[in-house]
Amino acid sequence: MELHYTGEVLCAKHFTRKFWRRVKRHLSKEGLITSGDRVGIGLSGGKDSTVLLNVLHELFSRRTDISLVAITVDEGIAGYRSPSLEVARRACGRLGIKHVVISARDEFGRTLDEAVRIAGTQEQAPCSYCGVIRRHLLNVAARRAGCTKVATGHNLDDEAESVLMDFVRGDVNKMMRLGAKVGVRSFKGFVQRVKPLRLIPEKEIALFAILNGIEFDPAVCPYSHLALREDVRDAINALEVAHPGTKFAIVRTADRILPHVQKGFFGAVPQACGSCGELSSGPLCRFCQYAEELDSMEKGKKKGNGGSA
Amino acid sequence: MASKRGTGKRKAGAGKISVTVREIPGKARTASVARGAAISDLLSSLRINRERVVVRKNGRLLPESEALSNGDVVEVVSIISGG
Ligand SMILES: [Zn+2]
Repeated sequence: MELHYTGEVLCAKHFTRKFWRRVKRHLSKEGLITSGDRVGIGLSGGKDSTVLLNVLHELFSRRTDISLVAITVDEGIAGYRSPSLEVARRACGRLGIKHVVISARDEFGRTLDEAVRIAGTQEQAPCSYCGVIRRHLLNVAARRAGCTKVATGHNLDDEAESVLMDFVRGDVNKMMRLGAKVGVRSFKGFVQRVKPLRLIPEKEIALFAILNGIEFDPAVCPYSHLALREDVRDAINALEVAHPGTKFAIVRTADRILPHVQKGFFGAVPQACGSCGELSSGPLCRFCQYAEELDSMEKGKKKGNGGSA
Repeated sequence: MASKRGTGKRKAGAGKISVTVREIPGKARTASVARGAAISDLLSSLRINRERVVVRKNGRLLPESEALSNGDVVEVVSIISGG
């Protein structure tokens, strides 16, 4: 096993030992999970979330002051979500972790496939719908399950991509929400999100899963090729090969700058969405905005003029 | 090291060796690399970014600095998934 950013070559045993050391250090340094926490683990069945499930189970299942529950969001993507849902179920059964599933069809009124059919794939990339739906439902399910934290499987590659994507899109608002702890600002009903694996490169999570015989669903989301993320990922991977350490540098730079900028940035007081009551930056949250948008797009299409925007 | 020469296979050029690459997901192909080339050289000649894959030989994970031998069959497994 090679860690190109340090130039180290490690055997499987030392790789695994180092992996654990880094995860534990990050958890304790940032105080991500503490006594009294009930942690909702976002579990898609892919490698990152399945490794996270196993890691948190190993670290906390013997603790009596910390409890775990797994949450799967079923976005409604035909042919993609069902196999991974099965992997998620099996993993929870094996580890004895309670598993809840929350679906877009029930809570949003539509599956992601239906939303894409109505909205098309050009203007609103499916990923922006999906991201909003997933975050919203994860929070709703976590609150219902009595969670004090939501842990997600975001890795170093995801985090570096998010930083650059916000630059590319010029999305300062979104950038301000990056960091080790997301949503620290207290708001009734908002469950704080933590990312225990955010300093572990994606490739090392895959290696850890393979070396430890952790079953995961290797499927790629059928909509992912439409996303800006894909282009940014290719660019970062090219940079990483030419300049090892790029991913760490991007995330570390953002982590060092953001706390200073964030202080001056959050002028607006977060408010409750007028429709659903969830945390929102305006009178209506994005989840409810999308639901309304889709309703009116669908009405326009039904009138028979193709519903041009 | 067993000699695989003279089995009717297309002979690799002078100073070259021939290896079989199985991409997962994907298909198998034959590649020709310089004698003494490492897995990282093979990946860059195939334009595969090493950040996106792990490489196995006979089911074992390999470091990318490992040298290839003529007739090797390596699996290049994509690690990019939905999360
Ligand atoms: Zn709302």
